[in-house]
Amino acid sequence: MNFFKETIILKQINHVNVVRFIAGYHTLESLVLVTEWISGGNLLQKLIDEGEYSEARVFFFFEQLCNALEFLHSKSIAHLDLRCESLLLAANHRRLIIIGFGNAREVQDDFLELLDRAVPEFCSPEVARCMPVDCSSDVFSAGILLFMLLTGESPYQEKTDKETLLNIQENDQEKLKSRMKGKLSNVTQTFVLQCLTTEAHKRPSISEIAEDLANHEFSDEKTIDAKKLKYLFTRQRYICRIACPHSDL
Amino acid sequence: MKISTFKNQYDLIIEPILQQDQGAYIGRVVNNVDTVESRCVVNVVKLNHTDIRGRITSQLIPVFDQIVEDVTIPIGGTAKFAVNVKSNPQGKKTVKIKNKIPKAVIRWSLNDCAFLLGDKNVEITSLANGESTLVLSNWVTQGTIACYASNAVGQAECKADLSLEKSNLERNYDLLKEEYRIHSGITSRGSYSIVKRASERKSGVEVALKSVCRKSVDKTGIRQARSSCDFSNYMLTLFKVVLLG
Repeated sequence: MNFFKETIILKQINHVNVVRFIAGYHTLESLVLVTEWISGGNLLQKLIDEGEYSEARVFFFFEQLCNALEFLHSKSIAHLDLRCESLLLAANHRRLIIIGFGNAREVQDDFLELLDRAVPEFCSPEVARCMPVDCSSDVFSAGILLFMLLTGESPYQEKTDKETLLNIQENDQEKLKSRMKGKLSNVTQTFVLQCLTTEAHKRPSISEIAEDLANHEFSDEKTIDAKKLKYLFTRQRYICRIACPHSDL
Repeated sequence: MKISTFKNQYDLIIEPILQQDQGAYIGRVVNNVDTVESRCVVNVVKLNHTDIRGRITSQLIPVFDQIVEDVTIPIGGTAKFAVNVKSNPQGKKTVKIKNKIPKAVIRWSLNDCAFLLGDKNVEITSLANGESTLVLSNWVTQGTIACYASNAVGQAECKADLSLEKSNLERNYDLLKEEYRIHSGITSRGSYSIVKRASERKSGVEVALKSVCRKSVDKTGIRQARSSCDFSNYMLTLFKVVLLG
């Protein structure tokens, strides 16, 4: 958790879909980051509350995620920790806000960086292989999130983290296709698979994805059941609860 | 009998005084212009044994020439205290010593608790000339430092306050508390951090405080995240059965 980098990066970001930095305090026991309060709760919780939702509903939020990432990537900042907990909603339940910039870093073309910490379920093949990362890793993680929101399933999650990482390294596209078949429209499937391209250099940039999104219309039909998403959400909350960091707050 | 001078002050010292030293004494200052005099009469009184013992005893109690002074240090800093006790290394227990002060034993304490010998953070040095120093290193406790000098006749003490100054980090914490009213309860918990809800005292605007433990800042890694995930996955297989039927 690089608090200092997180503070530096958040200070230079001013975007409607990114959490707003207010102040940073270094105290005796803790490093405290003050940000805007986001009262709309987690995106997953919101979709679960809706019971059933459409592809268009998911892409409404995904588009905002793309906008935020496009802004970050234009400043050569990679988030590198996109996951369900990173996506919150503003009070009106319409504006998506990205949080969790603990892993974020400024990516330089002439300096390759390894990512030493990540949640396996959401990491890209290059992270799983201990290869240098760049902004395209965010595109892969965004693809995983998209897959989750559309199917209620985690695309690579296995029983253990080791198996999960091997699964991501292998990244069997045919397996992914078969899991989406019959559940999602062809256009949507193409979007997901584009994001989940194994080779980082073949992956479309977030700008290209955002541009493609603008040219497509997605089904308004409420075909996605939030039941499976409930399991993902419960698991996410449980993972958070077993960690008990100390704080002097 | 001797005369000591210091700047413009002249002292006549008669030690030990005897019966025949009794009489009038004149101090006379002469220069080319004038002469001035100062007179006094000295009476020598013979005392019995008890009186002598009492008078000598009062002189034999240890006396601090230098006393401890208040000290303020940062947390984990070093504090140094020094005293100087009028003492006589050759002194014995009884009044046989006559005009000599018995050697004093010096003890130091903090908040009425004597310092333990062998504590690596405490260094006590006592010299034969009556000097004694107490050095506290990596110190984090404040209170009253006391120094006791005792011998067979009596005991003298001097005290000072040892205070810890607030570090910048502590001041920051106070500042944070002054700026924001932190609500009880944790809003969310991450692997290395917790998030609490707070409101700015001036404006009432709500904010989120994400607190990362300093100790965890340099210790985290992908392996730690993995281990927590593995455990949770194992436990959550049960939940999956319940939720998905």
